[in-house]
Amino acid sequence: MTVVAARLDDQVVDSDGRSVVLVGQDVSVISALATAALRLAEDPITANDLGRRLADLFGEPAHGSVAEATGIVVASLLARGLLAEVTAG
Amino acid sequence: MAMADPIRLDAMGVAIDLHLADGRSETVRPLVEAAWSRCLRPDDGEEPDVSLDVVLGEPSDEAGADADADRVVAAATSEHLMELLSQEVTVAAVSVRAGELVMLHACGLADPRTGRTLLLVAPSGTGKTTLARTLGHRWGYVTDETGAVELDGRLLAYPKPLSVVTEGEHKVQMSPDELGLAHPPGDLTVAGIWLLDRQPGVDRAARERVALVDAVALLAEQTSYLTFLEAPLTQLAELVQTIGGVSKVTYSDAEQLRPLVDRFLGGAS
Repeated sequence: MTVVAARLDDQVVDSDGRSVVLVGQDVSVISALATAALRLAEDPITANDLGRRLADLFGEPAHGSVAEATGIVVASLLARGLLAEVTAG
Repeated sequence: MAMADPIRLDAMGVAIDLHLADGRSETVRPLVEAAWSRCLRPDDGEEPDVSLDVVLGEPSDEAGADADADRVVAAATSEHLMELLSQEVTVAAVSVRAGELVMLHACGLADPRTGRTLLLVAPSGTGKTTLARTLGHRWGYVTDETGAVELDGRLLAYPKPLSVVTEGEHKVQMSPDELGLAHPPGDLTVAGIWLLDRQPGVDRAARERVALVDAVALLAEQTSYLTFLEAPLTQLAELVQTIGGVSKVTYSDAEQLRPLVDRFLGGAS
């Protein structure tokens, strides 16, 4: 799966890496991991590459695999409209 | 017959003229002028930003209203008309200032000497008017509705009438003068913002700092026309950082906030 970040209308990043984002009318507070994921997905990126880049930044997850941890973050961001899946064609 | 003068209001810097539609509607003039005593503006000869026609009568009487009015406010009783008028003036002012001001749902209380103002942010219907009535005898009444912050950080007063529930369960619009609330000075600055969390049963008010991103998200929820602002979250964050952070205050009763507010505004004695 390849994903790309939604166009953010505004974003404020805190010193702990978390951020608050505005897309359309919706305001969301997201974790430092999700904030980094959005930044890494400014251009389309595969979920595997995204997982590797996040592991470089944050280390291996304490529980489960990088792929599982990335899947959770990606699913959450997709559900909130902050990431979109890039379809071939 | 000569046209009666409109009632001229200033609401957050918006010039609003109220035209009383006919002889019957004219009977509410003293009520309106008394309730809006702190928002009256002199006749400067300029066109208003908004004109509202005010009709005391049945809805069918709206037909007699001025066709040039931006909106007609009509009700069958003076009490209901006064209540509607308060809502309509606020809506009109907020609509005009959309994109120009950060407009927070807040009660504003100011140090009468310095103009340092504390904004108590809470959704509508959660006790902002009660706070203004309880604490506004000592601290200048800025607003019980909208904390209107200009891009340069200055705050505009909006000392509208306060909606007070009487013994008969009727809502009456009362002037801050009639309630004996203190006057703020002309120049106001935001000194603090507290996000109110009213929890029944809490026996003592507690105040805690809120992290920047959480403060911005919570303030965004209580901002009128948020997305009309350019970079709205960035503007809210700058406001939060300028005043040194935002607090959340948990309380159950307006009186519980008195010592905290007195201490914050620097007048505890």
